[in-house]
Amino acid sequence: MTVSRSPDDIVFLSAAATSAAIRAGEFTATDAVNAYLSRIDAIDGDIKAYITVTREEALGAAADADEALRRGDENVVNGSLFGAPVAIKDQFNTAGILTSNGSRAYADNVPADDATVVARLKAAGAILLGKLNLSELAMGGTADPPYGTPQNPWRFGHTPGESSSGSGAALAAHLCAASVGEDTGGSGRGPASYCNAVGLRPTFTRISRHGITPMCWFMDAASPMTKTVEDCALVLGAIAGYDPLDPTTSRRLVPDYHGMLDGDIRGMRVGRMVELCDAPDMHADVRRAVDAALETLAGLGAEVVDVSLPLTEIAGAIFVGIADTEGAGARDGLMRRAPEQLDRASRTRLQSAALVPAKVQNRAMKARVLLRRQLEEAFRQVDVLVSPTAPYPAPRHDALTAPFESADDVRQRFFFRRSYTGCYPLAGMPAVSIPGGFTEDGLPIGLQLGGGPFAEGTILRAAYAYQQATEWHTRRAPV
Amino acid sequence: MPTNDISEERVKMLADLVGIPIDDVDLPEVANRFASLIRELDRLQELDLEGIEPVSIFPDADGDTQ
Repeated sequence: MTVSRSPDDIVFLSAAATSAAIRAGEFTATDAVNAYLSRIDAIDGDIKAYITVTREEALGAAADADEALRRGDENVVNGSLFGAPVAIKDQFNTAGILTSNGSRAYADNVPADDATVVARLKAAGAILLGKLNLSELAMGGTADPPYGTPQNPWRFGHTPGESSSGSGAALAAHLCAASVGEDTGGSGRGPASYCNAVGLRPTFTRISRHGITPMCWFMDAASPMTKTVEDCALVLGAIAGYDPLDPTTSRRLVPDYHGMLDGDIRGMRVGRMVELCDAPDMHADVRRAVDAALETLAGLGAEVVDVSLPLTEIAGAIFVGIADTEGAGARDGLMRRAPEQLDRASRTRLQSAALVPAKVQNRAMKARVLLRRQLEEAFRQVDVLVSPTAPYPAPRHDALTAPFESADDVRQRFFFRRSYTGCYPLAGMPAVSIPGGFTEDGLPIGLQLGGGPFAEGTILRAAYAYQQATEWHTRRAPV
Repeated sequence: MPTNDISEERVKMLADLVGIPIDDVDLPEVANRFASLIRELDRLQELDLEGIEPVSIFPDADGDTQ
C-alpha cells in the first residue's frame, strides 16, 4: 500500500484523523505504529516520556488491524479509535507488561490482567504503544524518578506537569496519538495545561478505576489526555460507563460525546471563577490569557458572568488534607516496612500526612461537602465555570522538587496551585483543561472549564467551540 | 493546634508514637509539611460545619451512588 503521508506527517495527526486516514487507505495501522516508534527512538531518550515501549505488541496489534480492514470486518474497523496508537500512564495495569507506578517499590510489578480502561481502549481499536512515565505513586514532586525526569518538550528543564508527566510530554512531542492519564487532584489537567494538550477529569463515577493503582480511592479518576477536544470526546466515549469490576461506577448511559460537538454555544452561561481568576500571585500572562479566552467565548455567543466560590481559595489544603491522608493509609504497610524504597519527596509527603489527626481530616471531609454545595449553587446559575488550570506556566524542575524550607514555602509551592484543580475532584465534578494561549516567552497556558455532575458533554461542547475559534492547539513544540 | 508548637522534636515524638519511622535527614521537611498542612486546615475552623456529614462518594441524582 502506498503511504501518501510521510511518517513525520502521521505523528502530527490527531487520533481521529489517524483512524480516518487508516480507514480511507491513506496509510496502514502498521505505518502509523512505525512512524511513532521511529519518533520515540529518535527523541524520547531526551524527553523520557516512556517507561516501557511495547514495540512487538503494538506491531502485532497493527497487523491485526490492517488485516481486519482488508477483510472488511466492520465491527473492528468502525471502532472509534481504530488504529490509533495510544500510550497509557504507568499506573494502569497492563497484562504481562510492567506497571511500575513510577516507583522502585513496584519495579517487579507485572499484572495478569488489563485495567478496564486499557481493555476498553483496545476494544475501540486503539493500539497500545507503551506505558508512560509518572511521578511516583501518582503524587507529584518526585525528586529522583527511577525512570528519568520527563522533560517538557516546550522547554527542557521545565516540568511537563504532574503526575501524568509522561502523558503530557508524549502528547506535546507527538510520541502517541492519544493517552490516558490519571487525575486525582489535577494530575491529568496539570500536564495538559503545561504541555498545550487537552486533559479531562470526569465525574468521579463516570469511568472505571478497576486496575488503577489508587492514590485516593474516592477521588482517583482516569483522565483522557489528547491533542484535541474532539479526540478527548472519542476517548471518553470509549472508556466511560458502568463496570461491574468497579461497583462505584454509574449506570448512567454514556452519551455520544463526539456527536455533541456542534460548535454552537450561543446562550451558554459561563461563570468566571472570581477567587481563582483574580488571585494576586497569578502570572500576568495567565491572567491575560484567561481574560482573552472569556472574550472569545462571549464572542461566540456565551453569556459571561462573575461567580464567587469562596472555598476555592483553600481547596488545595482541603484536597491535600483528604487525599494525602488517604494515600498515607493506602501506603501504610510500605512506609512502615520499607520507606527507603520511596523517593524522598513521596516519603516525606506521606509521613507528614500520616500524622494528621483524624479530627482534622474529618473537618476537611465536611468542608468538602460545603464546597460541593457552593459549586452546585453556581451550576444553577451557569452551565460552565472557567478559570486557568494553573496560576502559572510550567515551572523549572528544581522549583517542584527542592526540599521545602518553611511552612510558608509549602503553602506557596504546594497548596496554591492545587486550589485550581482540586475543587472539582473534591466535589466529584468534571473539568477539562484545554490549550488557552502562551506566555510571552512561549510556555503553554491551560484554560480550565468545569461543569456539574455528568456535564462532560457540556464542558466539551464549550471547549470544542473555543478550540475551533483559536489556533493554540495547532502549535508544535520545538522537538 | 498552634503551628508554632510544631517543632521537629514533637513531630519525631508523634511519628514514633504512631509507628512511622522518620530519618533525621527527612525530619525537617516532614515537620515543614506537617506544620503547613495543620496551619492551612486550621482555617476550616472558621467554617460552620455543624450538622454536615462527611461523604466519600456523593449520591447520584438518579439514585445511583456517585
